[in-house]
Amino acid sequence: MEEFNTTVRISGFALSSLMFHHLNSDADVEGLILGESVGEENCRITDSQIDHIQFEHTINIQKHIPCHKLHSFYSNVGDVSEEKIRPILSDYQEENVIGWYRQRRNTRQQMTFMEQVVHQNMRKILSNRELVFMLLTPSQATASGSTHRLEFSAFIWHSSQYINIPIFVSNLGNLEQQDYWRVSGTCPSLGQSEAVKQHRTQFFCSGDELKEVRNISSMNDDLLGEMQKVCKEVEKSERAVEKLQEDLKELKEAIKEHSEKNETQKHASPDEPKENVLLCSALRTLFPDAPSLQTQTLTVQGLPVLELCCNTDHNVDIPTKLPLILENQHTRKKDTAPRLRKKCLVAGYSQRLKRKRKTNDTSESASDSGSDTEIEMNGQNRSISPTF
Amino acid sequence: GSAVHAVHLESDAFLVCMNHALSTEKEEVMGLCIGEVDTNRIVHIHSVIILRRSDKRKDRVEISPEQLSAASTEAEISFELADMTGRPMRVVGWYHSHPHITVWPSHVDVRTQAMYQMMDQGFVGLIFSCFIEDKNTKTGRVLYTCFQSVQAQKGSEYERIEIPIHVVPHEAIGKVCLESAVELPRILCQEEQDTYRRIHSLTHLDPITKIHNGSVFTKNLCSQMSAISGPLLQWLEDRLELNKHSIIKLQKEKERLTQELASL
Repeated sequence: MEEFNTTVRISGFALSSLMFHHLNSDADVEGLILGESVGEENCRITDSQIDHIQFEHTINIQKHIPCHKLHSFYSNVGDVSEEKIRPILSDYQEENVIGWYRQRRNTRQQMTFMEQVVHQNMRKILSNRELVFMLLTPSQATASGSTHRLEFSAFIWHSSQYINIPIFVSNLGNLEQQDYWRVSGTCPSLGQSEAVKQHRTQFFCSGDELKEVRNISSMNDDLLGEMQKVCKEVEKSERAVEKLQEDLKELKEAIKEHSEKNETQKHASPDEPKENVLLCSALRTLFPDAPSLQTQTLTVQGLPVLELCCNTDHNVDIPTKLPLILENQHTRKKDTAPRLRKKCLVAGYSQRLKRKRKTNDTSESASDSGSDTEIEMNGQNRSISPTF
Repeated sequence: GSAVHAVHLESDAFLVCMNHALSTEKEEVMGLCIGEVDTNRIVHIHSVIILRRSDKRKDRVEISPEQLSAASTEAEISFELADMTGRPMRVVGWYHSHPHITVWPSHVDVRTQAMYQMMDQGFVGLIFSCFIEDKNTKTGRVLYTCFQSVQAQKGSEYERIEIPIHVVPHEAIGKVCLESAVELPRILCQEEQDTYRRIHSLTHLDPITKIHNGSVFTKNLCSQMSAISGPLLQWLEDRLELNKHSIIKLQKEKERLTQELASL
């Protein structure tokens, strides 16, 4: 008969690192957990009929690999494929995968259906039998936001169900710290014995220093030196990552600006009125002394704004672009031009003229007097209808 | 009202605090918060400094305002507290841990905080509660809170007031934070060496006692290496690995975008 007693261990640094991953994200995060599984037979009680064996199984979480986005190693229905896990693992071995984790805010310490499905599929794919699912659920503890809580636990599949396993955070405090002896025993004979005097040099260096103390101190110093070196490399790499992220941001912005610029060049803005260059040239050619015909701008009352006359020479080649005008000019120059010129000098004439032109699509009829001008206009229209 | 509107704790500073708080369940640990206060009375904490405790009491942790002031000055001088923007940083608060006990500050904590506030109105206190487990659900728990102290009336007891705290994302770990993180094993080693030297200098100890104490020193240092230095080194190497992969990915992306920009 076997009893399974499983504990999960994680160092404080690995746990903080997991929290760090989630704190830098607005959404849920997930990833793979690497480590090793150590089984130990703890107790064996044998009686005549049954062997009672107690197995102590320790799962050591050593590190985690954060996924950059959700659903990176499983599909929308929870199917896990090895091809998807491989790139996440990169250089790490698949045997070292001992589980996976998920962090979600303001939720319960309970596996969701999807998580259960993914976990079962993970168990099928990965060699490790006792795969662990680690769930971290941070939440706010007070309304003011002054206090926050993080809950965490591990789940494994055992005996056809998910059982909750506590996570033990290994730390300095759970290792027995021995106390120094401040006083010696009361017998001077011990210190002055021949045996002690003879073997003394095996323990003490010249002077009073203990060899053991010197050895462990230098090993520890070297370890701290090694840590310092790695720390410097990490610092360099952090700055390199930061710089690249900045560069990417700048590049994305530049690309966005460029594509926006191209877009605006392609589609002309509809509210910007474009000048009908042909019409302007035609009017200038036909009515060179009627400046009111050169403006596209009207006041609110519908009167042409002479100050905004078009003064640019559009260099339109009249004979090729507007041949019909020349024909018209030719005929008109004989009879209508002088009278029109005279009419132009009358104040208000131009206004009525413009209004007539502009309101040709409305039902509004010109209610003003000056019928002779209207006749003139109609006369013109009857003879020629230039097309542009 | 309080002099502080809210606290913004950068996530890499949080990481160092959490590392420190989780380093031992046997005693409370403490440190200083480094940062600046803006015009909206928001305290920005950019990094932390682990403090050595000369008087190690298992149940209490606090240092007198004079000691705090001295530690702050020393910190501001000896550490490069100016952040990447070149703005000078200063000590803006303190943090300590509550292993196995509630996150709320004790009466002593509240009084200590009040004393610190006499030197600096905007001084804030953080507490990290760890090694708590719900026996029924087998769920582990970590809590953190931010507070200041206030006196209802002159002469009455000090009470805590809640200060909202937000952990602000900071994906890349800052230089000062990294340096603070690796200070922990060095501080522990120094503490142990100081304790050992004081004992070893006692003249009345016989050789057997000295040998015993030497092995105690060895044992304690091994515990530190096993529980602190080892996992910390592990984390550093893993972080380096992670960054190397990120750099490769980001480099590829940068090349792709550079080409895309050139083609436009």
